[in-house]
Amino acid sequence: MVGPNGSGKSTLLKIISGCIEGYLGSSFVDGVNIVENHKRCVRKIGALIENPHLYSYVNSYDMLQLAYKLRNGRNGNEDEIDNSLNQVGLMSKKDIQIRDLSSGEKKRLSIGLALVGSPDIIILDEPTNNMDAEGVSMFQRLINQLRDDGNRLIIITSHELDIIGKICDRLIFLINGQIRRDFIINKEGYFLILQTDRSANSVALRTFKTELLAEGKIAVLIENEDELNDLFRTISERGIKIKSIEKMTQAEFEYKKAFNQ
Amino acid sequence: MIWNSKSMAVFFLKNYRKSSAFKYIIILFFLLGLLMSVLSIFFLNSIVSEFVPSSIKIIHYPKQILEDIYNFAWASIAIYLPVLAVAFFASTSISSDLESKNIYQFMTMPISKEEYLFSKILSSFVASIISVLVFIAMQFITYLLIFRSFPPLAFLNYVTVMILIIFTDTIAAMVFSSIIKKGDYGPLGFILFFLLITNVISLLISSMSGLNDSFIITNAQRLAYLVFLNVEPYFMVYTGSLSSISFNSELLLIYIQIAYTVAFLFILYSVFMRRGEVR
Repeated sequence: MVGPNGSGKSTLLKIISGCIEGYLGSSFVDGVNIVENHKRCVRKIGALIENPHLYSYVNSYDMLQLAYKLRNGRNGNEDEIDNSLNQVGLMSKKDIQIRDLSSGEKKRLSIGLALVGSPDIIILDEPTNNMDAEGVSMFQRLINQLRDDGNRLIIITSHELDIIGKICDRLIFLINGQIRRDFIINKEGYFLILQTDRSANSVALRTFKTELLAEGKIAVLIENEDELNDLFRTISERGIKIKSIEKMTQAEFEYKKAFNQ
Repeated sequence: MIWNSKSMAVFFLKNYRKSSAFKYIIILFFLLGLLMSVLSIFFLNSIVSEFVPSSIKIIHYPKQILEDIYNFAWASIAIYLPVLAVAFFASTSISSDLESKNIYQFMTMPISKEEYLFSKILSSFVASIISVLVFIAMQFITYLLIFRSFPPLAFLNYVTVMILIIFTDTIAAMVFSSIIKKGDYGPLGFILFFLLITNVISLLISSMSGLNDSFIITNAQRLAYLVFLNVEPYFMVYTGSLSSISFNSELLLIYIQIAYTVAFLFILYSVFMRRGEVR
């Protein structure tokens, strides 16, 4: 889910994860109302909501152990907790107090807390905020691995369209609590935004999947290398003058369109 | 319910135990105890002599009088410690979780709001007891050193009463913690409540009804003080005496304390359960 600040992303996640009450409508997990059957439903959910500061004076191991106990109703053995630490790359920081972790490491631990006990539904609210490049790359690997592991629903909110575009299958744009766009992402494809000298050029490129954005500004969907070569050949053959060219993922392109940017 | 609450309470206690606040409060109570020990060991006779007319020359004070004054001195300090301890632990316990968003970690787990609340009460209560017990342990040891015997059974009574006071104060402080969103305002609000508001309320009651203000709120809060100060609370009036407080008077004070605890517990539960931003 993507949307500007205040669009209702976190609130929606809080509702879905059974974190808050007193709203209109209902949230169901496998057909069960989360408000009426909270414990049963949230057992299937692992959530990272907002940006929790966590408890400064305990270590990552203690924090994960508590989450494991509460979710599974029993103590986790050392291997199970170590596995969670490994998942988020914090094994070497196992015994360090949380206040001594960097903000990116705290974020990783928060993600680890959501993953403890392998829940069927994972809800992550802006998981890559405060993360360095290494953290983001670890996160992408982790999400791809979780998706490949089994039949799991992962809901993520983020502002970082480039990351979202790479790891998500479906994208929802939210604004003022309303869904603006909801579509399946074509991960293989990308858009080339061409600024040409004439709008009529879009007719010349009609053999491609194009969209006229503004006077002379054309978006072309490229899904493979052949299409790219064909595009440049056509541009050359028709003598179309290109003033600028910009590459965009589908997520970025749709976002700009949805929010008139 | 108990298992979840216990697991969380142990976790919160672990966090308290390693926190700077806990270390500072333990050091503070230890230093207070040390100061009282020095006063008691070296100056107890001088303090007792203040209660005796200067015209009377006493060479050796009876043990009972020394004991009464000893207990009087320690209890008059000890009575303020629960307020200070719970201001550190209980008055920030919920508000800091709301402020730091840590509460969402628990609200998305298969636990009820009641379990969370109970674990918070339990952990703050135990942390406060541990810190106050540092002072009481020093009182016990100093007694052994001075009187070369174990304290009378009333000491056990005094410790029990202190624990009851800590529990009431914990619940009262947590009411603040559940109302205030900013963690830092909790201790301030709670201390102001005890130092100013309770006095204002009792003054109001006193001026409106013509009753002695001390009975309504201060009596219950000064339970331990009264037990060991040997002050007899007749209806609406204090009467100081060196003889022990009667069993009935003590029972009355305990009833008042329990009534406060139940009232604060009801307010805490009602306020916390109605908070919209958490389930």
